[in-house]
Amino acid sequence: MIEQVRHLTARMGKNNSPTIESYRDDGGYETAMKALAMEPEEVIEVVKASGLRGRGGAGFPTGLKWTFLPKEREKTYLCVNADESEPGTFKDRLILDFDPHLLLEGILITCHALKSDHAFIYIRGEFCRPYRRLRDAVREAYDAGLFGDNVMGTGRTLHCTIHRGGGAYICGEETALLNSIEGKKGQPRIKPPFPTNHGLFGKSTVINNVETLANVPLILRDGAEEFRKYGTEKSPGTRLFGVSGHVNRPGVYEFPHGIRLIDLIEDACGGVRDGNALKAVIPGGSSVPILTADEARELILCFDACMAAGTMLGSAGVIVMDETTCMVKALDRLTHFYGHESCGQCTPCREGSGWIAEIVSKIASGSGTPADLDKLVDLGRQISGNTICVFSDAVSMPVTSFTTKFRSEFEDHVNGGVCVAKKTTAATA
Amino acid sequence: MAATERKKTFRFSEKREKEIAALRGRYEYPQGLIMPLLWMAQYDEGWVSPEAMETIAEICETSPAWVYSLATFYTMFELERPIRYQIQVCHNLSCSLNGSESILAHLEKKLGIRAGEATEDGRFRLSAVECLASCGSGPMMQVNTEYYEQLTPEKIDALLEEFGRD
Amino acid sequence: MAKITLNGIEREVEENSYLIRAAARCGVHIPHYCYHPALKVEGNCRMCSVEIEGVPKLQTACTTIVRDGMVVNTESEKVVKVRSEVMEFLLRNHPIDCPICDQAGECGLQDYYMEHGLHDSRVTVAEKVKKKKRVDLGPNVVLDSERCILCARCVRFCKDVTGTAELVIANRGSHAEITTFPGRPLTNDYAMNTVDLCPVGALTSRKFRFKCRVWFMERAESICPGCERGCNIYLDRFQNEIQRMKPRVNPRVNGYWICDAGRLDIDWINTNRLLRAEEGGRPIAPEESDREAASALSKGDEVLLVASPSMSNENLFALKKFSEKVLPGSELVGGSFREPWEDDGILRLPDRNPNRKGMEAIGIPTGIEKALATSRGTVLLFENDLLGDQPHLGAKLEGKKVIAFASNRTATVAAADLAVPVTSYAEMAGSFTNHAGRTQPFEPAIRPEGEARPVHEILHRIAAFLGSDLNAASFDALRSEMLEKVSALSMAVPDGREAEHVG
Ligand SMILES: Cc1cc2nc3c(=O)[nH]c(=O)nc-3n(C[C@H](O)[C@H](O)[C@H](O)COP(=O)(O)O)c2cc1C
Ligand code: SF4
Ligand code: SF4
Ligand code: SF4
Ligand code: FES
Repeated sequence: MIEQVRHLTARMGKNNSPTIESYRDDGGYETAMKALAMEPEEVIEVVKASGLRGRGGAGFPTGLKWTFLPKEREKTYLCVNADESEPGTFKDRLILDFDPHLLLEGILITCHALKSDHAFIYIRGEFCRPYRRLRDAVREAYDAGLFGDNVMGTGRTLHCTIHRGGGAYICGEETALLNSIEGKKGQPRIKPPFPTNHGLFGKSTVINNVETLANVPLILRDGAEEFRKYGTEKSPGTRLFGVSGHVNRPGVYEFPHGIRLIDLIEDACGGVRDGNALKAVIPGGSSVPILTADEARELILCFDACMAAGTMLGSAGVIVMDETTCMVKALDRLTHFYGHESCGQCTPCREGSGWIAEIVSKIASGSGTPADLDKLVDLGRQISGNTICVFSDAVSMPVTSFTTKFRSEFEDHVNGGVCVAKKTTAATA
Repeated sequence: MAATERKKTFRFSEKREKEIAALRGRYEYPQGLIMPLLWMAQYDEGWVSPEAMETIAEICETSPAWVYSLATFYTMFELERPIRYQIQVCHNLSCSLNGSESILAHLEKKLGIRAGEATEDGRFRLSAVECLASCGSGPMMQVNTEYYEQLTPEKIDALLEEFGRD
Repeated sequence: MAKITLNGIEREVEENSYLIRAAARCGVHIPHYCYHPALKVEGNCRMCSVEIEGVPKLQTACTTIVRDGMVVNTESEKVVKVRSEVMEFLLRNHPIDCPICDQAGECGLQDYYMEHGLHDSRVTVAEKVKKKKRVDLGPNVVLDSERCILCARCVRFCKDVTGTAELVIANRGSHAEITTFPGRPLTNDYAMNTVDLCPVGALTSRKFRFKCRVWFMERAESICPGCERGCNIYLDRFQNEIQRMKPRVNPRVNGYWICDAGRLDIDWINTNRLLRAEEGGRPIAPEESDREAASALSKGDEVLLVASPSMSNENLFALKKFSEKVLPGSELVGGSFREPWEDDGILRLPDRNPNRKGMEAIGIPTGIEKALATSRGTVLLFENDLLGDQPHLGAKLEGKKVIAFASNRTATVAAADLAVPVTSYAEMAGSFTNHAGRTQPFEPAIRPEGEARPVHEILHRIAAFLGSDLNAASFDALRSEMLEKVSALSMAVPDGREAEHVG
């Protein structure tokens, strides 16, 4: 059995892991103490040297993003993306639930590096327990003088505000997130201007994912070199993989980048349930292209290998489907989701995502026609490329990859309405 | 509105007023408080009433329509009536692969309502919702603030009993 | 200036301007819906996508700032294709009920639809999302949600121009819909501009709904007489009746808007008009009325001429000349000032008289109360409802011979010894000088009904009876003379046709 590498998850499972006492017992906030004594630029250099890449989806180099802040700036915000809503993704919740102080220490160090005096944590509205744990942790941190007007006795100010979402997937998109904090509908902004120049309340802003920031204290503690010992050259460090669907042991697993997808499934997760054959895998959250079983067996889990394989590592939410899965019904679940979540400003996305959802559900119900399938394929292409944000690509990719790679199943559904999967599990079992 | 009809008004409690005052400094302009206040209203009353939206608009120096546009954009706000138990079953892919449809069907049967509807007494609203980031423990649902995971019909029966219904 | 290449032709355009605007200035129209030059850019309709060399994805021209050396193609195959795809998406939920739509004929959707010869639409009616039809948003504006393309122009207008934010888009995705807050209708003083702004027939004017098809109407360029702003307007006519007032773009005066009070104040043009001369309530022929007036003036009594700040400069000038040349002993003052209203910080200015500045420039003093108190003979009231506007002055008219030159039947007309019909601003050429001293011409929108004539013509005829030549029969000659003699007045050129093209 391949062993997990527990860096981010080192403290998971301990009693009272969310409390500040427990965190401090394990040496928590010592790194922050050290980092606050460094020059901000030095901290950025360490993070740059570590090669840390964003864990929110796009994999953008974190240190590099931080250097995009203009030299002269009035105020800087850090916004923490805890909106975790990508179907199949459930790893940030683990940190919020069981080690919120790890995130807070990451925020503390990052704000020092960015010369920011205010961090917002945007947490999705449905997260109630994580919210309570995070709220309590922030209170503890204030009480301990880690936040407030005299951070760790340095005389510096740092505030940390938790902003709760209200049920909108699109608020995970960074500019929608900013609008949502500002009291607007969570609709993505036109870029440029980019948030580093014109972000929250018009001020310079850096947005990072929870897991990204949770890595920061570890990098500062152990050094960039140690961080790079795990993972690959271009995807350094470990990763939280959330595995769901038809595996025997679903859950969040921490492994270095570069492991084989099949090892994750077969070994760590105990294989496909009921001894069934593997049919398909979505490796990085619902928005990335799906892989056939053959493709999945070859896949290496790092940013570049995924790109090369025509998919993406995204949020590392791995959705596993066995031979009983009806791919039309599986797509139906996803397109229903996208139809529900389009923010509705851009014409192609607003109309297209709803239209696509209708057609897929029609095909899944057995009343679709070959013309519907053609239209679906056309729409999958038409929707993307001419919109304000890449949500439309997130709709396009599953539609295009499902209908290409599992074309025959779609054809079977529109030619007589017979579903190939004997036991359909995507809908009624 | 007819002159005889007395208009109800909504006010936040004193405790809330204090929280609001503390939050003000965190947002560069008052509009930023809209979502926090929508949450407070819903938490305190079980829904966000039109009167609450008017009050929030006033505090946040914007129009009630603006508040309404947010309250309808974000799907978690209950705008119809106070609800005691918001039952939200995830029906996205990972939960669906593990049988969320049958869980939903079971709840529909037990409660005598369809997904999207509320029971007449306002105790339950049942909804099919999108991914709640609990994909590794599906099928799952959220009831108010709590997650219930790896659901089976038996677990649901026990829960409904606990909520005062069999 | 920046140099860009637009569809293969090198052009000089203003630096830092939006591409859509820069292109329009070069005469290149880029189809668009959500962009409006007077509103914040939102870039949501995606209709204005164009190809820019070196940029892999199409870019929206309404959000792109021109750069020196930019090479832009607005009609490439890719652009045309994407545009028709956007159209297809927009029409997916659109009822295509042009035959019963007020917007037909001036609808952005219909225009481009025709242009792009839309492929057989693959949307069956059953698939369209059903939305609300015929919702009264407020007293004057009606919404048809199924026709709405969610460009949010109306939303941005109410948020950023009037600051009232009564209109919003509620819900999300394909359920998104324009609405007001329950119980809070669209009542701001500029609400009807949303009807003009709406690129399709989703917002229509309750007053105008189904009154007549737009392609039967003709329009004249005019100036709103509602206040001293002097908003530039169109008066649209059908069968010699004013159907509606619409804003005419002028960035220096009113931008793209007019206020609802101004816009709605057109009924008086079509109703309750004084159509022939009356003596003591009895109709008389025009010559008879001219003769009557002339004889009243020739008695050698003191004569008081009361001008009004609602009269055109040309009429005021003719009147001034009349008092100096034909009746040297007469007194000429301005009267009938309408009560001020509030400056609303948008367009409305306190002074509700459209031509007070013109009256000043021509040299007509104010002071009607005093003049009335001292006058003893004949009083001539021009476009002046003294009894209606300032009833307390009524007593001062007692025992005097009153001749009213009026367009409408007013209390003053009813009480006058002689009433002479004159044209309203809608039936004649003229000009008003606004608060900022800008003299703006207007043209006749409809033919005068009955015997109504412009004041200057009538004065010319009366002068003739009195044996003088006022030289005011020809409007053009009169205006030239006025511009020559009154140095403070010079005719402003209408400004904004090009801006309007982009709207
Ligand atoms: C439609 C959409 C949804 C997204 N959802 C999330 C999310 O839930 N959580 C997240 O961290 N990033 C999400 N992202 C990515 C963010 O926009 C952003 O890239 C990320 O938060 C940056 O942080 P990182 O560099 O640390 O990854 C989403 C992006 C898009 C386009
Ligand atoms: S692409 Fe979709 S989600 Fe993104 S801004 Fe446009 S409408 Fe909104
Ligand atoms: S009503 Fe008209 S202006 Fe308003 S969003 Fe719809 S189409 Fe645009
Ligand atoms: S602001 Fe004055 S001039 Fe302009 S439309 Fe209104 S009343 Fe007429
Ligand atoms: S996106 Fe440019 S005009 Fe609408």
